[in-house]
Amino acid sequence: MVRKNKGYITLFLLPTVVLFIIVYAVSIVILFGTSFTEWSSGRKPVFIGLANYIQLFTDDSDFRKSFLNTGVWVLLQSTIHVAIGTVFAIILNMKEFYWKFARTVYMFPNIISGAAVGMLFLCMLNPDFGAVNSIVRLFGNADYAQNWFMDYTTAFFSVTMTWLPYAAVVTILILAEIAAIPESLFESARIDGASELKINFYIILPMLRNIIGTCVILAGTSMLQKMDIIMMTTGGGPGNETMNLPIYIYKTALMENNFGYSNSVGVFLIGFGLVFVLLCRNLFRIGSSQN
Amino acid sequence: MRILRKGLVVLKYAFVLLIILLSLGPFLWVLMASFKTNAEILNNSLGWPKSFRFSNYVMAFKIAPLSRFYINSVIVGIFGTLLNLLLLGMAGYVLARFQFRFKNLLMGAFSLSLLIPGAAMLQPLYLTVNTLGLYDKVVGLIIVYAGFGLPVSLYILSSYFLTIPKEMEESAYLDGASFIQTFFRIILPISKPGFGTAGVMQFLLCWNEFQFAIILTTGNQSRTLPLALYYFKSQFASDYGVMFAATMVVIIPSILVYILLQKQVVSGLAAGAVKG
Amino acid sequence: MRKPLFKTSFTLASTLILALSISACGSQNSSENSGAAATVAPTASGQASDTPAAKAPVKISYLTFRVGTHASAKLEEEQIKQFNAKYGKEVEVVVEEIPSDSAYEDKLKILAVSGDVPDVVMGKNGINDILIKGNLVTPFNDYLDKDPEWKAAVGEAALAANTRDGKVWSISDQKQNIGYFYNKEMFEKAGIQPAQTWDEFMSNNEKLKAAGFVPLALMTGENAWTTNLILAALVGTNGEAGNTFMNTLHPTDFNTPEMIQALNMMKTMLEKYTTKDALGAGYANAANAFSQNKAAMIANGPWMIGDFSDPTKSSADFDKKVGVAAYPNNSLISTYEVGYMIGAKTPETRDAAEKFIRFKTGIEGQTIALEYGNVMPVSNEIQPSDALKQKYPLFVESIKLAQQTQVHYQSFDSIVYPNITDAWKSLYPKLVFGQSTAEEIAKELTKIAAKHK
Repeated sequence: MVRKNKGYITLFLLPTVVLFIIVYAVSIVILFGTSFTEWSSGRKPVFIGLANYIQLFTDDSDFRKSFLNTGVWVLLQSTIHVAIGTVFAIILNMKEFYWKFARTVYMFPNIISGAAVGMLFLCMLNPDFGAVNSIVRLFGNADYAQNWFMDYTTAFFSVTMTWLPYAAVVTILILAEIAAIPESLFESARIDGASELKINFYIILPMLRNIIGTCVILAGTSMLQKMDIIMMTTGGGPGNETMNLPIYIYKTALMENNFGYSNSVGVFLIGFGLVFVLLCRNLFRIGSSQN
Repeated sequence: MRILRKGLVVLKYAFVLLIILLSLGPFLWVLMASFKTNAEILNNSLGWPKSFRFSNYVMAFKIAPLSRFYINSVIVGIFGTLLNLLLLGMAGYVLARFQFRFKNLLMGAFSLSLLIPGAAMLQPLYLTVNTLGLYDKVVGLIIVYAGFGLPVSLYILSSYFLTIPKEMEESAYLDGASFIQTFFRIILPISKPGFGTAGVMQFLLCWNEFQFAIILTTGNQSRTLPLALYYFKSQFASDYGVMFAATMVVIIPSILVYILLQKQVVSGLAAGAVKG
Repeated sequence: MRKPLFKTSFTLASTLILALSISACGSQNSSENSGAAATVAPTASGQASDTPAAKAPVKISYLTFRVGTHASAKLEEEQIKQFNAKYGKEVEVVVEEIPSDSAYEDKLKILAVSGDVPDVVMGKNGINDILIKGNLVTPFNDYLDKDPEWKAAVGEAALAANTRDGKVWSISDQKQNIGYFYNKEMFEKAGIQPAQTWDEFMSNNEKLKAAGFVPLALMTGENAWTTNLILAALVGTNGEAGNTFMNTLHPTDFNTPEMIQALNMMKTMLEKYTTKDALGAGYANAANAFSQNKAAMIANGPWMIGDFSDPTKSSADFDKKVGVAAYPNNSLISTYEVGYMIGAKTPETRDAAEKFIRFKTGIEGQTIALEYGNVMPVSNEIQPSDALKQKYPLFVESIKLAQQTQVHYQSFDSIVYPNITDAWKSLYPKLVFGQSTAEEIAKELTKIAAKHK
């Protein structure tokens, strides 16, 4: 059977491979190649070996901070974020009166573009007229003027809160997967007298291993791309408190006109992501069939 | 035991309520603000607008070529999604179901696409698109966006294919169906939930992407809606009301599209349940 | 359950095919007004064959960020309209609108590093340096020599501002004379006059605060514009050294006593004399704080004057309350914009681009900019019309101010590298929340400047 299908396998894969080459392969080659050069707009790239990488690891505190932040955000997103989404999916799956409404509404912040979400939070958290401070003032503290995005004590937290609770994508992915679990499994468990809680824990959750693994990868790696919300709200500040690798890449290339160096950060980011993805794939044994 | 259970129920409702508040709150706040004057937004940020000023919306349409951008966004959104789903449905199926020589290499390469930072791709992608003669073409955007959605769709679809029991295809083969027939007649219909979810993700990506839309197009006949937002973010602009109105104009269709598409996902969910 | 999906997908598919055919048809005539100079060639020749008698106009591409809510959107539209009416038969300007200044800068940098520069470029915020370094633009010297009238209209000073090694790389389209606006009512209630010295400026702040007003509309987000104007004034009026610093292109050493002193004073203002949201605020926040009677002063240029009588932006009759003043020590920020550069590669497009720029920066273009955008012309010959004077008396005052002041210096945005302009927004919170002292910020600025390639 396998031999018979070989032609079809190629046929089914070819268009995606072409798409991949157009959109990514050229970028990867340029990215990788120029990461070993000194290259700025207006000049030809000059090969300088590993100099960019050496500088990156030995003498760049902004890079270290960006990497640290990126790492923390990947970690938070692949754990807390996914957990919120999973728990919510399981609650919605009980199909209580609000479930359709809640599922739709939860998706709203994910539907809206990152830039618009950023703008929205910027206004909501404005120290002067923002909704959050206005509410606090209603409760008596008339002079309350917390500067959420700029104060060192709250900046990282505020930025994180613009995406961490919004796990609707995880929720719908998991809901779809739960729907695919054969009903017969639940029924036999119910006949055996298992409580809903137990069914959720011992039957549903284990069946979700693959999709949760997928969610962890998607959620975690989305933090390797996160830029628009941060740019709109803190711009990486105060200082470099909320700087991450994508913003650092953007800044070194377009603000410092240092494309070679920027691309070496890009290569590093890809390497970091690869390690993360491989780790997750092994952890969740993704790719192996469930049954 | 009973107290514990009650506590759990309370916790559950508190959680649901919090989620709904966090999701709906910002949206409603902008909706309110889009009817207000600047002075109202600044002085009375929580209250209802004094009167519903639609003039903000009228201004928004006057300032940015919103209607032209709408049409483009719809075209890019639909085509980008269909192209992406078709290609990745096929690739995802093969990758989930069959063992072949370069499978791991391919999977690795495709995973890589999840990791390439957008900011680092601006210049290379501009070069590629320009060389292919797709610069400032709607088709160019469609292809690029289909590519951007590659990793997410691949993950969603192939992990969905993995949940389909192998017996389904085996019986189809026994009945004499060909490879292509099996895929389009058996696999596609039962994978609707997977396609629905991937489709929603992909559509939103096409609908919201900004950075590449501005780099890869020049004229208004190939530009998409997110660019319209920036017509209100110029350096010396200060009219909040109009800005929020424009934000709403961009947001509301995507919410409507989602609600409409979601119905498909729901009916898909029900259909999916039959298959076990 | 299955049927609706198929039905919808069928309808979807047929809409798609329809849309495809529309867009296919559309793309043929759409290339006419699209900016892709490289791809329009076949269509252009096709058109030319229709009307063999007349020579087809030369197409030039032009990117502009002056669209949408930009303060200069109106003047841009009018300039292009009048240019088309006059030269439309010879030159066709293909306009690409790039909403938002930062998106414009990003796109131009991407185009520059790929070697594809539009025919006419605005060289703001360091773009000129990149293009000059990359040998991607043509200097104006020959064109200027051929047209002394134009040369005179631009004026020696404006030309000198954009000359490097004897070559005029760009033609400035406007002079920025920037002081600050103040709320007369609030000043009256606090019993103060615009300050003559910085000590008086600070005591004014204190008096305004005591009278219950927020003295300054500052903002540190985006490019920290209104804040940095005052910072520039603080440095620029601080003796010979400070003034020289603020008139030097691309300063690399920020670790100077003038800079440190200015940062310390700015820290005080940000802590005590501004709105609660100034740290991290955008221009919109600061502008609204001033126009909605929440703050007493804002530093900004005359293009803002129109907003004071715009009811959507300002409270009723606000324009009557506003006065304009120079900075202490009888001084003013005065810079020539970088203006337009020729990026065109062929002789024909180069000439066409020059024609377009000549129109925009000549007497006609400057007059349009003045009348439609309250933009200060570079030429001294151009006077505002009586209608304008009547509508915006504040503008007349601004011109007077420019003539009366004796000390002039540039704004930070026009002298520093773009990565410094980008850094303020993260540095100011650092300074105000006490993470770094003014000395440390000055050292950091020096470091950032060294990073620019």
